[in-house]
Amino acid sequence: MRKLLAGIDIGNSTTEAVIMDHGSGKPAYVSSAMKPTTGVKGTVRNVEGCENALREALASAGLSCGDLAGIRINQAAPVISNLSMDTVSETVVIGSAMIGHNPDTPGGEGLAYGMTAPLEKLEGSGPLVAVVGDVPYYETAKRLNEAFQRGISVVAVICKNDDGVLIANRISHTIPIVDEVAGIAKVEIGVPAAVEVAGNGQSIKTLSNPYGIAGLFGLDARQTRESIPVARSLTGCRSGVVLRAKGAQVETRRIRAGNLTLIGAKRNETLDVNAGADAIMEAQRRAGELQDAKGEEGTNVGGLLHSVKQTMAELTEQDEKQMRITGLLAADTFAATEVGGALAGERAMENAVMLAAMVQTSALPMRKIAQGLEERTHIPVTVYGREAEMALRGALTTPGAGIPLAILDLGGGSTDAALIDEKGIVKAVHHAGAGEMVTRMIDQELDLRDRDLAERIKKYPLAKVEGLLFLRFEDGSVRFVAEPLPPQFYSRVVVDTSEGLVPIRSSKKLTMDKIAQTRRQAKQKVFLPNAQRALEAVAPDGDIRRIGSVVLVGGSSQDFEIPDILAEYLAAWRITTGRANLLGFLPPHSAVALGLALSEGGGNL
Amino acid sequence: MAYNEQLVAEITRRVISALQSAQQPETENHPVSAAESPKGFSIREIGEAPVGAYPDEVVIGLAPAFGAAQTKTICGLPHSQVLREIAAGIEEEGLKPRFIRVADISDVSFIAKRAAVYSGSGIGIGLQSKGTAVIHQKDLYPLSNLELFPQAPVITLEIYRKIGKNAARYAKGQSPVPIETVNDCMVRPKYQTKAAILHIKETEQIREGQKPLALEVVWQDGE
Repeated sequence: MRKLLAGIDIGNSTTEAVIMDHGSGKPAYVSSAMKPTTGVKGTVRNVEGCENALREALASAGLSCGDLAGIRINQAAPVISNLSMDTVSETVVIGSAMIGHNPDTPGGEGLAYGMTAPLEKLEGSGPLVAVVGDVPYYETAKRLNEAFQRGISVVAVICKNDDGVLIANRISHTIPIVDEVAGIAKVEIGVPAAVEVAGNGQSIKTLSNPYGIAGLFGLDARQTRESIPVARSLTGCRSGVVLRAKGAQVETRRIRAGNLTLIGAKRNETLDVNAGADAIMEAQRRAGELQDAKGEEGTNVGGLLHSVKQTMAELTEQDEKQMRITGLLAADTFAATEVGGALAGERAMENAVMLAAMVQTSALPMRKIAQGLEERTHIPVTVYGREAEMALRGALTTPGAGIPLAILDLGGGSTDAALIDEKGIVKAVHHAGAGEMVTRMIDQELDLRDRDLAERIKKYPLAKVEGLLFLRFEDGSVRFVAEPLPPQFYSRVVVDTSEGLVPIRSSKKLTMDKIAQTRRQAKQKVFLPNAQRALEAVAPDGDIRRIGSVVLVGGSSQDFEIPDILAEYLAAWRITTGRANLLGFLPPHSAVALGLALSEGGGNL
Repeated sequence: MAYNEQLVAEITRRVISALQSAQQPETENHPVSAAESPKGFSIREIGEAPVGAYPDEVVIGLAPAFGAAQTKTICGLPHSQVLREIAAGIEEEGLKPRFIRVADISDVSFIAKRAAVYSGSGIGIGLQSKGTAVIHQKDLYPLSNLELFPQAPVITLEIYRKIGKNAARYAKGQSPVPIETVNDCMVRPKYQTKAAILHIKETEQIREGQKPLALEVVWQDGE
């Protein structure tokens, strides 16, 4: 006599179903399936995803809904995590109308300082910076050479078109030339200007240094402070122009990053978000278990937390005032910001703090999901057990694993840890911030504005199509292909996904190394602090060293590098980490669903 | 530094040609641009084109009539300007342009493929007299391409500059963003007859069995 139980785990990104047969003593595995989660985790729209996963699991075993004795779904729903991102640090302020610029192919080399003068009127004894509008490069070169012969000291060129190298190749002196200045009309004539071009593989040194700018333009201490954003936006550039316009001020708006108040079980903490991610995490630790978080009205962080609560309120159809933020993960990141007073639409990377927030809602939606699923399947649905306990139960089926055991559940929205000791007592914690935050961070830091592409970059290794018959991977290995690759992949960085190669199309000059580094750092910034604080919370007496070994479950544990990054980090505490091998053959993301399907009687393990 | 046969052959060839040109100045060179062209601009065929040995070049393959029997594109851009912009685009990226005449075929894909095969970097540009352009890579099938600009009437001089730039970027192993061009659905009906006639005239200039020829391109100010 068969007694089939289905466990369904609604995750942030995927919904998994596992069916087990409890008919003959020891539960036996029947089938499993994984489908994308529909809607935000913990909302009624999840029902569809649950049903999809369930039907696929049933179909693969040749069963129908009527064969099931019961369905169990996880009770993770009351806690939802959402992520909001804003440029929390102050916006770039360019006070003294100084302008930086970084074209792809500048000409010449060196640093020069002089007064701006139009190409048509190069005269006088002082050093001049020639400003060139719509003039063909050969014409420009001819006029410059004539000026040199007349003994005029032209020390640099700023030109509108992409002609830097062409002009440099045709003139008799080596001077720095910055080209592609789209807003050449904005360049005032007769004002002091500094132009710097560095050699290949180098970056400018003087204009990226506030004291360098101060020295050239004779600035006082206050003006030097104002030039810091200019210097910063030119840091790492191969070329730059800084102009000191006559009195003209570039208008900029200051939005304060604002103060963040953390209401904890132990105490309340208020701090400036500009203090950075580490300080926020430290404050959260001091505050104890988080009851809520508030941002100062009218500031960046205020808007950010408000939008998190509002989104959650809408999704769960509850009152925004009832929303409580019960978990926060802060990470330092970068965001592209328009440079005020830019000459050609430049964007600079500004420091920003990214926050993942977990919102506590009532258990109401969970019951609605259960009801909805019951109506569709006509099988009794029970909301069952805590997610971390279920994950533990699933993880325990890994061959070689035994009590005591600790797990780290690396999901899409949250990172959970649970520990079962010799007496069977389970301790579990739930922290905001996981795979989804990594995706956002990759999207943000590479300025892709394409979530799907960021997701692919997160999940798969990179390669560069060096020839039409071979790819070089980020680790230096080379793969040859039998059929020539499509020509649109030629010379591109691609993501080697399970569905084939996907080219990364971006106007940024993203090298494979840069993308790989950003990806790895995003994973480190999210998973390392989360794993550490989660394990500290469940460890006996808060001592991670006493945990001994950790089994990784959840979707992100299947990532191609996260387990290695974590293993390396946790090795410092003499902790062995490894991916779960559920029942000896199921992938680790099914741990919760398996745990649910395994538990027949009460919630005890 | 690695010495190989190709390099030795190239050096030998250059030394010999330098010696020859010193002895008998320009007796074999004959201007073929019989048709009128802007003052000072000339294209001269200077013998069989060598296969490039250095990766710092992009080869531009010109169709049989380009700059010779025909001197303007379908929308009236002078060939001299088209070549100048493409060359400038390549030079701005730090590479060298080299021109060859593909005299035995008038199909732009095959011209571009031939240019790519003759290019030291493996990247070539094919140009038809009516202005159609293709960026090609030597390992691709002829009818495939890296970038194709099929609607000659909407290609401006700025786009020719970008074609040169992008070709040079491919040659450097960078990943350029493909050039955006206007797609005008009226181009076909409006220009079909003219395009057909220009292509027939181009095809008439084919010299059967002629291997690609090296070209010397000079603009008015001696570049």
